[in-house]
Amino acid sequence: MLHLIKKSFAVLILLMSTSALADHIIIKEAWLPEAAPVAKVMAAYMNITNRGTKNSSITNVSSPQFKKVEIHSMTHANGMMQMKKLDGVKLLAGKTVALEPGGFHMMLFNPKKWFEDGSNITLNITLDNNETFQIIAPVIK
Amino acid sequence: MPTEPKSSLPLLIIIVILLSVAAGVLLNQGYLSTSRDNKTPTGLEATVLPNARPIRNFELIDHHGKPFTADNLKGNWSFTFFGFTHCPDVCPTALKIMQQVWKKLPSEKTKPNMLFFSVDPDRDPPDVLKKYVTYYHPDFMGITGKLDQLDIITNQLGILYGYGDKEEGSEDYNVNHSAQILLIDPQGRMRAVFSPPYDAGSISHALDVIRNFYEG
Repeated sequence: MLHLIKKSFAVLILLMSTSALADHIIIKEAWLPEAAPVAKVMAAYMNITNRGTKNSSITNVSSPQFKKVEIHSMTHANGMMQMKKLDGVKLLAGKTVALEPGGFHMMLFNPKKWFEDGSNITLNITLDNNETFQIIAPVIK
Repeated sequence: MPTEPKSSLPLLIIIVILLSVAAGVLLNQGYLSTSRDNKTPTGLEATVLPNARPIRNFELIDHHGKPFTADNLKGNWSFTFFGFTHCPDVCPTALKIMQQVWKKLPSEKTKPNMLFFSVDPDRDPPDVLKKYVTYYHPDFMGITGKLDQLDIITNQLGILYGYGDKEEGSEDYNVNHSAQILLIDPQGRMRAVFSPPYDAGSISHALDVIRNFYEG
């Protein structure tokens, strides 16, 4: 229940912050599963909706709390889950892209410290028109 | 008509041969066997192997640095997953599910072994593996070793893995791998396969049913 409250609160912050900065791109339910303290990577999941009338795309993601962030697709091929780095995420007008466990995700490399449950992660998201906006996503155990 | 018995004799032989072949096939398929070994419980979200697959010996190490061989798979049921600690998505998801399955199993007596095999020994020495795996539960065990030994067990279990863009000395490469959670029986044989998306409730239910079916 506490997790739900935390998550809802974070979504509220997200809605406030994203709507002011990129009014046609709405990011909801952004979160990162807590990882083992020894883990050198984390994943971020979210739903990204393009409420505009033009197609858009995310071309870069960074975080001051990590060395780098990549966007990955995940496909089941040749009996294996194959992860592939993408140049960006296409955001078709009026559509939502879901980044979720076992599918599309953001991969965050080399955390500056262990981010436990309740930590907030800052993600700077750049669109193809060079507009950059920031979201805060909670770490949830 | 004196010729009739002579002409039906070859036919009789053919019928006998056909019946023998049919009986042989049925026996081989387990239809005429009373043992449950060749049968499977139904209605599970799992692929249960009618003939549990024995595993030839391999020599790996556990996360304490102690030898881990095919014998260590005997004596208890074991869930296994093959992955690596630099895995952002699939491995943490699978381990989280294994953690939930563990919590759902009622008593200590019914707890299976929970084994995480790293197919990335270069970045996953035992001490790293120990910290990684025990984060999910102190009783979970990490296992790794030399690639030729890992290949002995992965080949037998049908687990595939491969490195993407791995360069000498690089810390930044991806490992593609099969994402099945496998169930090994107390005789050290592969008995069932669970494929993603996993559900902890159906996996723990399947363990109960499979255990009762083959042990009950």
